[in-house]
Amino acid sequence: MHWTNLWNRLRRRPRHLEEDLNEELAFHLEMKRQALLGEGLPDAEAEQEARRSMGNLTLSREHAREAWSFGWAADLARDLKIGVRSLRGQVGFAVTVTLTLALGIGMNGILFTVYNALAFTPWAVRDAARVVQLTTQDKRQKWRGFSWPEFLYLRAHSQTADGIVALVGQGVRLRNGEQTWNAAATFASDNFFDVMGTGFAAGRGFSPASGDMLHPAAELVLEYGTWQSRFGGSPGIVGQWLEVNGQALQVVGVAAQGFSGPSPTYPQLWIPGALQDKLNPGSYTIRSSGSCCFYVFGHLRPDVGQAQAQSELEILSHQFRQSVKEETGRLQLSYPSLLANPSLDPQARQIFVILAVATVLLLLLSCANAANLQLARAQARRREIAVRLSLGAARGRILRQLLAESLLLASLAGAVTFGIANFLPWMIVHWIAPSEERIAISFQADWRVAGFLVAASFLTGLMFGLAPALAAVRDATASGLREGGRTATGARTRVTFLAVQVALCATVLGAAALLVRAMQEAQEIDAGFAWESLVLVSPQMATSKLNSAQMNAFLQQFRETVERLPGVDSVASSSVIPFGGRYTSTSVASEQRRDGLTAGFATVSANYLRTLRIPVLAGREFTKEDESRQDAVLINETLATLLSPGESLVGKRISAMGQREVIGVVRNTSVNEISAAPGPYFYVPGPGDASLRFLVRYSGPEKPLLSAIPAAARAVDSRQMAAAAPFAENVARARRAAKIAASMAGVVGCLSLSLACVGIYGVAAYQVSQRTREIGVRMALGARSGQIVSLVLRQNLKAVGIGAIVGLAGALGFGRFLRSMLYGLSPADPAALAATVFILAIMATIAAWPNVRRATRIEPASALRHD
Amino acid sequence: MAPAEVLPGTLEMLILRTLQRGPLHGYGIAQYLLQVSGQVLRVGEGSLYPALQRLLVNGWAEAEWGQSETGRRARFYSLTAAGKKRLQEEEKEFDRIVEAIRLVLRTV
Repeated sequence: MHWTNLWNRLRRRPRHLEEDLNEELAFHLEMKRQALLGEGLPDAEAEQEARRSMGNLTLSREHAREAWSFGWAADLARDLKIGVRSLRGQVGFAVTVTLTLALGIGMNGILFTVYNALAFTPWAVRDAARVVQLTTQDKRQKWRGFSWPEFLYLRAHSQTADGIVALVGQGVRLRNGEQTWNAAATFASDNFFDVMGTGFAAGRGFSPASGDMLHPAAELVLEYGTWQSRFGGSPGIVGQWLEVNGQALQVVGVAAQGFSGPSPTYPQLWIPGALQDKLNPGSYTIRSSGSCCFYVFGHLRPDVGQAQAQSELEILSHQFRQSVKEETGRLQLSYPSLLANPSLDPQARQIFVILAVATVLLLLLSCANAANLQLARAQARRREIAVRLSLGAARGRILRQLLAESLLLASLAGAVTFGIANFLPWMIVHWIAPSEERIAISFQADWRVAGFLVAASFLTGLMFGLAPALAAVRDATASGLREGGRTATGARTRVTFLAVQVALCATVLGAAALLVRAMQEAQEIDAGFAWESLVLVSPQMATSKLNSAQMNAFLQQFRETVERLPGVDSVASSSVIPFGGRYTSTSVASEQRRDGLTAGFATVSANYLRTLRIPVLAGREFTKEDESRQDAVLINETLATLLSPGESLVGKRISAMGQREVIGVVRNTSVNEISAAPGPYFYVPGPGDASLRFLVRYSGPEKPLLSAIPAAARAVDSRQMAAAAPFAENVARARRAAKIAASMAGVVGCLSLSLACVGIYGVAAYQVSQRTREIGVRMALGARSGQIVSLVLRQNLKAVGIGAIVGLAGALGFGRFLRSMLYGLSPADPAALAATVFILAIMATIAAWPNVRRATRIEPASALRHD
Repeated sequence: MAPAEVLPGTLEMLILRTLQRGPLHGYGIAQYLLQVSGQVLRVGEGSLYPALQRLLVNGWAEAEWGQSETGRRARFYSLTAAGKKRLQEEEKEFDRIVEAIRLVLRTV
């Protein structure tokens, strides 16, 4: 229908359409009667003849009125009204279908709410609509952060942005009087609060003096939540001094409540970026144009378009990079959101895709389930439909009415979902996120979520409603009004749905089994070293008060003190801690491999291998004497094989950070993630820099050590601090991702299994009720209960079998997609596939069993009386 | 000659043409068409009144209650400017089609 037509109908519709039509037709009738009387017919006959020739008056009026009706819209309203009435009579059915669909739509809705919050919702910063994130990609299409000098150059020269800020997150050690703790800090440029800030709960933001590169003002701004929890929300905090990494900084303000900047989690405090070198000496200097990793955001001027700003900033970036002889790359602007962030872990993106596939499968499964229920109901209503068809109702009209009912049920499910979408995503994300991080993202169900749910409900309604409605109309046409007419089409559709359900369930279940197996596998994979009975010690040095000789002396003394603590077996230090998240690599070459290859490395102290229990396969490990050598190296098995296959390298020289003699070959160990095949790696001896950490092997109780070690640091030098934690925490963190993926997969797998069971139960129940008479006859003729069981099960077993095979193929395909999360487990893992089949078979049997039993207990006599 | 049904799609044009002579009520329209067509075009009430409603919806005709020749209250339909334009278009289109049909009949 045309919109202009709709408008005409609304505008010109007479106010008394009904009365007008009635009176008009009455007038017509009267005129006819008069004419007939004029022809000489008697009174009664004229009346009769006039009425006869007028035909069906009601129908004429109906048709005339239809010219004004809104067509489908009015029909839909009527269909929905009928739908509500008919569903009210079957509350049990309506509730079951709604819940089934709510499960499917709900999972998708929750995932979309999370996606919406991450991808579309702007950060809660000032004038977010004009804030963009600058990102660059180098030639290898890899994300690259900005150096501080490049940021300063862009900020000084850009005409299109009236504010450019840089920031980077970093953990710091915070001390307030006697209290010390690790805190997430954001190092930000001095203009950060001017550009992005949403105000202050107390005090002010950074002063311009905090941006001075040589003598930055020692300031910090507290986050609102931290101010409340750590400082009791006292306004007196402004002006006080706190110690950050051993440096005294003055609190100048508290950011407004809810402000996290363009970050998905709340930092505890903001520190001027120019203080970076002072607070983290030794690691790198932000003055170098080769430094990296600042996030840069710009606030565009109101009259400037994004494309214009992008080309200007790209030119500026190229100018700067060419002047310092750095590789140039493409610069892009994006509205800051977590998913748009190119530095985002690709695995997080992948988890999203996997979850999306799984939830869509789940939705299909619940659709198939609801379709089967709907089908059973349509079968029961076949008589009604047949009567209406024979009375002249259009098939399309009946189809539409059945569909309207399905849409109604799907909409109910969508509404239920909208209710839970307001709080469940928030709960799930908080469960997944590491407990020490406070999430700053709002997971409100907004108009986008509502739109998504409306679309999803509509599609769902069509998906699960169309096939049963078509089948019902077709059946009714075929069987007509025949008493108890039974056709095979409905039964066949149901069995097909059953197979589809089982296939979907097997796919989801198979993938879930794979993930669970992979996590088991990951637990069993040997990391290559013993991480039990190990304490990780992170010295937090007040570096500003020490020169490097004093620093080394402190570390040396600290280490010796810890070695003497009761229960300590050995102590070692390393620049890179396994599962610590850090990775350093460089190029290595040998006689046989002159072209060289890239290998990871760590600078370690003597006794490192002994402390971690890493076996030495050939040669020996570093001793105290080696620590000052510049020409010794230990290599792992993989590197040894790559550099010189089939020949021992011990005693030979290789090129690895200078020419070095291989003094030993050691076993492979996992570095940052548990892997069955760790890459090439080597160790060089040395005392390490300020970023080194200690590993302490102990025997006996752990608890006393965790407090004795920090005390030892203070005993050596009262200005210093050290944190001690069980090393197992590191490993657990590395395994978190696998654990979360596996438990989510478990939940989704269980949901799909229970949906499939409901489906199997429903089909079996329906079959038994449909064939009660047949079963009764067979029993009366002497069929044994075994034969009855096979009669009931045969068709279903075939459907389950076909479904399971298709589903397993699907699971294999899904598994290939999951490969990167399987820790080396094959997607065709026999244990996972066998478990899937086994679970499915057991559950299918359990689901069908009550009905099979019912079938064998049918009383022939009563069954024959059964309609 | 026996009465015939009005050709599909032409009823509205015939009504518009009838109304060009002046306002008329439904019964009058049916009578007029029957007379003018030499008792050939008999318009049933089942199609006349829906067609009249369609003319109202599209704004081609207006309706007003008035007094009939016999003194009874009757609803009179009259042509609007848009209706006149529509009539011209429909007549032109009708001529074109009839011409085309004739052409085919003559050729074959």
